Amino acid sequence: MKKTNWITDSVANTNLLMFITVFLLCISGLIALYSASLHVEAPFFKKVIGKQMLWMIIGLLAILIVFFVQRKLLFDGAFILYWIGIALIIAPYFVGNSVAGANRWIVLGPFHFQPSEFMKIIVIIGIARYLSKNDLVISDFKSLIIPLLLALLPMAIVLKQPDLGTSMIYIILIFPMLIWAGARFYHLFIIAAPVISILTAFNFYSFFIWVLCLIVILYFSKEKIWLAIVLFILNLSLGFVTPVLWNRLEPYQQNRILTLFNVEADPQGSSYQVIQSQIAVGSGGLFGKGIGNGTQTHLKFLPEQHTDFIFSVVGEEYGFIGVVSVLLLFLILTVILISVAFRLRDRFSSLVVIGVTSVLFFHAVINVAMTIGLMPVTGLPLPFLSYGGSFIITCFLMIGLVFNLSVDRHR
Amino acid sequence: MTNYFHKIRKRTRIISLFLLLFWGALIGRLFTIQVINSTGYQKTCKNQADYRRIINPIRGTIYDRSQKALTMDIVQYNIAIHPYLIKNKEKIAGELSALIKPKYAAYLKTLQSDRTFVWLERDILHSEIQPFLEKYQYHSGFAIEQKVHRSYPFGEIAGQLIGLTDIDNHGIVGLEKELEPFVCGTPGWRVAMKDGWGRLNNRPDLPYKETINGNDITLTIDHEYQIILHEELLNAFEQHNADKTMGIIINPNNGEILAMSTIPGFDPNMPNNYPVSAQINGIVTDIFEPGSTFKIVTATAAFEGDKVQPGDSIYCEDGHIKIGKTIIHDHKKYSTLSFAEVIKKSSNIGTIKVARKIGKDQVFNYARRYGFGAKTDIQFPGEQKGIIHPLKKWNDLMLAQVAIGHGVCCTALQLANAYAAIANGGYLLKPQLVKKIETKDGILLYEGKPQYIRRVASAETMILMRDLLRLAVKSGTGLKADINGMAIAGKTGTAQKVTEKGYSQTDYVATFVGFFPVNDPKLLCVIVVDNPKGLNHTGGSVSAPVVKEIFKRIVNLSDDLFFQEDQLQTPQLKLVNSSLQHKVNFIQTAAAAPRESHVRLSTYQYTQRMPDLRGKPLRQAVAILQTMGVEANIQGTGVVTSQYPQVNSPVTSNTQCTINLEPRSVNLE
Repeated sequence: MKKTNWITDSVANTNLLMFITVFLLCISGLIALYSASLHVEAPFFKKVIGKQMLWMIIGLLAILIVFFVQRKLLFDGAFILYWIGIALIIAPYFVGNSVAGANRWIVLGPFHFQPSEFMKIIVIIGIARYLSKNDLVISDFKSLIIPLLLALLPMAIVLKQPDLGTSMIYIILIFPMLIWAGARFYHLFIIAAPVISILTAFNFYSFFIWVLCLIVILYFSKEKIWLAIVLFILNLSLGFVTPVLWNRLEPYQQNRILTLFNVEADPQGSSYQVIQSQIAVGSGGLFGKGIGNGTQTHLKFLPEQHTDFIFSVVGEEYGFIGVVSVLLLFLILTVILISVAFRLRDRFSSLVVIGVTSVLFFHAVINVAMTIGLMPVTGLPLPFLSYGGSFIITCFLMIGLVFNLSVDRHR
Repeated sequence: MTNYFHKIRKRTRIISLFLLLFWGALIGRLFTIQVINSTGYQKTCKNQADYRRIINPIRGTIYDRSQKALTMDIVQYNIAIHPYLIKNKEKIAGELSALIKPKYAAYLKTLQSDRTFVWLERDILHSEIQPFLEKYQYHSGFAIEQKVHRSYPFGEIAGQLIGLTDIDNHGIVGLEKELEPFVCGTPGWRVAMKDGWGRLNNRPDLPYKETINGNDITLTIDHEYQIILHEELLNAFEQHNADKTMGIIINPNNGEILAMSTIPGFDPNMPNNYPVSAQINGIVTDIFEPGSTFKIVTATAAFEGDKVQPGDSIYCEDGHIKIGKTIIHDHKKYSTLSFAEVIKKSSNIGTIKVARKIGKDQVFNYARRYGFGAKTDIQFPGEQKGIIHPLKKWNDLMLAQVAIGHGVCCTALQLANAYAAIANGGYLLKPQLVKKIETKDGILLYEGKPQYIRRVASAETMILMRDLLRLAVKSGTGLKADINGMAIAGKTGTAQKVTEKGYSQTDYVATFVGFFPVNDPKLLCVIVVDNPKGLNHTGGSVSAPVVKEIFKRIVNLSDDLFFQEDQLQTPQLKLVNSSLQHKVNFIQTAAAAPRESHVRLSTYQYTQRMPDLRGKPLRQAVAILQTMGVEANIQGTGVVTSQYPQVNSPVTSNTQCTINLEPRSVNLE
């Protein structure tokens, strides 16, 4: 604990550091947006940078509002909030405008409001609420089923919108929260195993390695042997059946599933985006091309450069130095949030902070990984940098929530 | 609780480990592409953005001699817009309607389209778009496309002469091909930045190379004459159901080609509607046996060698002569004719007998001197040189055939050029087609000047030839070319076409060469009708009327064209190159020397007529009179105002001519 004393000395210090980090991230985002909208001729508040600043101001107001929400209110109203959230993400199917074939937005006058972003917070609160029940025996596998369902329901709805990235986040955030709540790794492994079986099944070698891992883990798990055998057979058969089922699908059905993994794909194919974004980042070199000189950005080779690919704008114009700085800021933010979670004595608050941490961290990692071609394009924005009203307000709300709960612990 | 927090601490470490693992993977990957492989990415980045756009030059315009455009590039523009890139649509629509066309409402509607790419205007002329270009050339919302297409406003008129360009606007036929290096220009380029959607961003600060437009050409062609020639050829083509009719009009004094046409014609605007064979300019590429028109070679050789005089009697064998195993016929039975009548009536046998007398060496020599069997070096692609067999292959039959224009082949251009030598007093000139070449800025690059090749024969011989040819029109085979009051000279030719089985008995090439006025020829016209069908197939009945019509129409074009000769330069003055002095000197020396020629001219039945001397300068008038053997009685100085005896009165050996002269008045030119 001595090592982190200087950070966690006081609540005020921690929160100040958190706000500074967030502030610096917002600034780098604004600089990148400034670059991206440099040659756009429009009044300032009609450019993305101007609009983003407006969103940030609204976000600051949201922090203030959230700050005065009582912890008790959140705790007691968590499930009510959850169902309201579910209603909101279903709403676009009925009241929303379909934009480019996607039912993601609720249109309120000039505002396009994306409820699935806010749903992230609601899912976190809901799961935290359930996991902080006094009578919960976390080491029992049965107590994992409810949190899993809490995540799977919105995931299914959002997946249909379709928005693979966001729906993925709902299910991913559950793992750190369960770990934090003290669930057994073996149980988490059981949850994750079928998914890995399906994904590895398409390649013989990957599946072979996976099966070996499965055997080793099950052998050392010291669980009942019949359960281990059942799990092994289940995963093995899943791995064998999946390719057969896949091949029996009609091509258009296959395409339907494939497009799910390619939601943001443009007509030139999703690889185009990844290639262009890699060229942008790679051509930035060590120090970058300098502000306004990124040809990839200004000649619009970079797709979605305001939103999902904002990181490549940073990479092109500010180089390796700039990119490492941004990633370092994310690392610092994550460490701060974990330390906050670590210090919170209240189980609910601590779990909420861990949920927020995992949402922000996975957003950052998946976004950067897809920008530089380490992951398929899924359409997740980069927190505090990417343009987008609902998302930036959600991020600010999450920070406000952490701020609120970290102060709340002294009550 | 302590147990829980102990567990939490342990788990914090695990989570932190995962955290660093993810973070490290990202940093490692970023280091690889941004630091290790950066140069490769930078190259790719540059390659996909830089785009060098070629800007094609505008091809030169080809004008006729009076600056009427025969072909030119029409430059048109298409304007497209990306409506979402144009803000402030009302204002821009207002400006566009002020700059391009007053269509505010239509423009506004287009600008407000929700499509990504819309055509705003198509096929706008250069002048209409210029103000717009100045203002919006570099605006990213506009895409401007330049289209250049070659236009031939007169279609079939001079189609083969002007030729054709291919789809890349390079000349492939006719003058377009020949003058390609002058008219094509040099392409320039401009670097544009291509964006991710393939749109080009033009910016004035990017590197570029200026396009150099092609040069403008002025031809010697007279468009009016060209139309007349074309129409008359077309009439003849239809009237005689010919395979082909060809014609050329030249100025015999400087070799300028004034018109040149072949029927069936072709329209370069739509080449695909015509057979490829119609693209050929037959005047320079088609060779045919000239027939009787070739008899000038024998006649010239005879006069120059003093072997035969116009009045010498020649027995014409009553219509057929046997040479070796071959029998050659006349078209009519003649017994005894003077040589002048042989030419006038176009007797084959008479000509053959004269040719025998002068020998094959001289016939061959004069054929070559007239330019037969050699290219004229006209500025036109695909010229043929014709056929004259080498002298060592000549036997008696060959000599006989060549004398009457068989066994040799020539182009209509060669024929015109040879007769031009007669018309201008003995000079073989290089045919001129290009008068001048200028850059678009008006800098003169080339100016066509008459080019003298050689002297074919002496001036007196040529004057004699002229008179013989006048006779042939006045009362001989070329009668149908004669126009009352106009001294047209000329020669008919009717050649049997060569087929696989030898000379055809049914297919002919009918030719007529005419020039006028005989004493000071201004125009020379060759008409070739290939395979006329019907009762008439001779040059005299088929081609001669065509020449007559053409001359009549040309004279009618302008009242003062041929009758107020002051306004026309005299032949000698037209030869502005070095040969001018030579020619004038020659005429003077020829005139000064004691000549037998005037005796020859006056002794025989052949009558000479007074030429029109009015308007000629003293020196020239005297030279003409002396060449004719007429003594001059000079009154005054300057230019001739009146003469006695008057024009066309017969000249005898002792005629004296009085000419009154006055100083040249200033208002002429």
